[in-house]
Amino acid sequence: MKNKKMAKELGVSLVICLLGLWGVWYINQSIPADGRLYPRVAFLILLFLGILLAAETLWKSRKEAAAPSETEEAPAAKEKGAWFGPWGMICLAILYAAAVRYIDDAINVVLIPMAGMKLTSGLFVATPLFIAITMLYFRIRSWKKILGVTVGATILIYILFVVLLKIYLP
Amino acid sequence: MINAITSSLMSTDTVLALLLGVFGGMFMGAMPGLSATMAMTLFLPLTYTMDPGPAIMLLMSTYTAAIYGGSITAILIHTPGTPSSAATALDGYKLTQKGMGLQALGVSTVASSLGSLVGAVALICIAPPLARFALKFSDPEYFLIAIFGLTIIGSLAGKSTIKGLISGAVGLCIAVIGVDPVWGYLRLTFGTTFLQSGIATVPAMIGLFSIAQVMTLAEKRHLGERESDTRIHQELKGRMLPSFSEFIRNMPQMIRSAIIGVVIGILPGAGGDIAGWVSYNEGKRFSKHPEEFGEGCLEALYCSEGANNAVVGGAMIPLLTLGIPGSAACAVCMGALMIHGVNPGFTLFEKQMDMVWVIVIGFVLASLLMAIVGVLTAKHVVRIADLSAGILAPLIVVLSLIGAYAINLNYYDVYVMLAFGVLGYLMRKFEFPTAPVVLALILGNMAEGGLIRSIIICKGNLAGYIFGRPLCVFFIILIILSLFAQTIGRYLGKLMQIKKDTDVEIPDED
Repeated sequence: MKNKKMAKELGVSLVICLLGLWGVWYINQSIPADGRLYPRVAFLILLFLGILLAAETLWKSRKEAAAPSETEEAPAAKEKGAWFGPWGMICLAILYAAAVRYIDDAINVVLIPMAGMKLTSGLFVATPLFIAITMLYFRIRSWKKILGVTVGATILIYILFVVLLKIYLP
Repeated sequence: MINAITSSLMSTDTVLALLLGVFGGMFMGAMPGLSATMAMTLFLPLTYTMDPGPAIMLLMSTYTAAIYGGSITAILIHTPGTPSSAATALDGYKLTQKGMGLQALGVSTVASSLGSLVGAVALICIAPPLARFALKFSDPEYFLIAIFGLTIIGSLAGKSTIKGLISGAVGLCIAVIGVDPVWGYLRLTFGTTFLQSGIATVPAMIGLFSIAQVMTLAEKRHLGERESDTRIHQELKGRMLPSFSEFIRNMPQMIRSAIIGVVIGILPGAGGDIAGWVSYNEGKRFSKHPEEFGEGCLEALYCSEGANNAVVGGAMIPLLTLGIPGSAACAVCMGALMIHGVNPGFTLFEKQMDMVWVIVIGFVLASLLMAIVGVLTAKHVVRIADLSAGILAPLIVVLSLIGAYAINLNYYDVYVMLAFGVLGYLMRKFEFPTAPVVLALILGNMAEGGLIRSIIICKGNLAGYIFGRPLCVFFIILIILSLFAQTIGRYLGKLMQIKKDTDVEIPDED
């Protein structure tokens, strides 16, 4: 097992053990004695398995050190900078979820007192923007494609969920 | 009862649900990166306003059609759409290279449909007696069944047993959040009100399977990975469906494979991929021409495709009789059943037998419809694999948000979904399987209720109480065996060797 991978696995084991320890401590602090058994057992199992994972990692690395492999793993050169991809994506999703909520609230704050009506609006304002931005994020540069998918998907979602299935959307 | 079943099956909703499930499942199954579980998760919000019958039919037809859809890309472009079709890619693509792609698709269509039908027959034959047997179960048995479900799926779902078990334990710890079902204490709510009702299973599932997959797609895109090449290098020509004599000649292989698929489907944690490989191996052992396996052999496709689709019917047996979902896809089905107030177990067979018949007949109809749709569209479906991740990703996020929000009309569920998306992505990065988390969320309450009530009943002698019950001893033995399932499988199975010998890129399980 390569040193970097072993360090990663040990780090994960440590996080799991700490989570298990924290859980046991928190359960003892916050729950009366008669209700502690099951949650405490759940966190103790987590702690035990975290220790086992660390032990397994160390055992494997020792075994591999004793019998070194002839085939070296190719370095993951491409991985540099790739970390940003998924985290940028989740940030976009969080912004989208927040936008759906707050745009909906903002529009209806005005609409409800003025016209006495509530509209399913936030989703249909935020969704085209989100789809377009995400497509750009995925390096799609064809404006025809972006426009087609954005408009098509928004209309399809409206027809499917609002008109046909009558599901309340934000 | 017959009237209720007929009216449920003849409704427009049912027909639409079947069509949508078969088409949608096939398309999503054909897309490398989208699994059967994800297809079902994305279709879940569509079922919220449906009656239970069409809702379950939509998900069942999606499940079975997605597994079939995975074989199309496996055969034509050597890229299994789902892990279940990995064994199919081995011979399927070689047949395409030989100019027999269309025939391979035909065999896959016939074997998949027949496998599904055998699964449906097994479901209706095995489930009712098993449900009656489950009447003998009491609290300690249910506690141990829940633990067995978690240990076996933890052992089999990933590469490492310990990591699988950790995933299950993380799920159990998350399931603790909310009000204690026995004593009523608040647990891990940190003074907030939205955590008092616990973590909702459906948003958690959507996050773990869909949002995590979107993050993975984004990572691959930023790694500069080339999108799949769906050009078929051989022209698809000739007769698609096998001749009657060929069909009859391969019937024993198909039936044997389907039975293997059903048995593996019943086992929690062992899915279509394992069934595909085991039946491929068994088919080779029983074949008159074993040397042709791996060189582009239609007989091999009868085996792998017959088995992986029969898994669906087998997997529904523990779900409907015991309330134990044996896989992530079954967990989604269970979520849908619970949304519609259908509680798996003996009461389902006693009080809602019409629902069981609707599920079985719907499953049979889905298999037949899948065969027709497959014959008409299979060679065109492969183009769907060319759909860019940049188009898929935003659509998945939008559908996931709608699914998480619409179930309770609650924004907190959307945040739960996003949080579980991050958790799911991190788990994938560190090679932890995500399916045990979902299973633990579902089985956590069952395990806790069973344990606490057993402790109350046994009056201080839990070990004596449990070991005095033969069924409990049987389940304890199963739990111990399940902990060593990977080791046992490694020693018993030659299938691992076959896996090593292939150069098929198998997509993620979840």
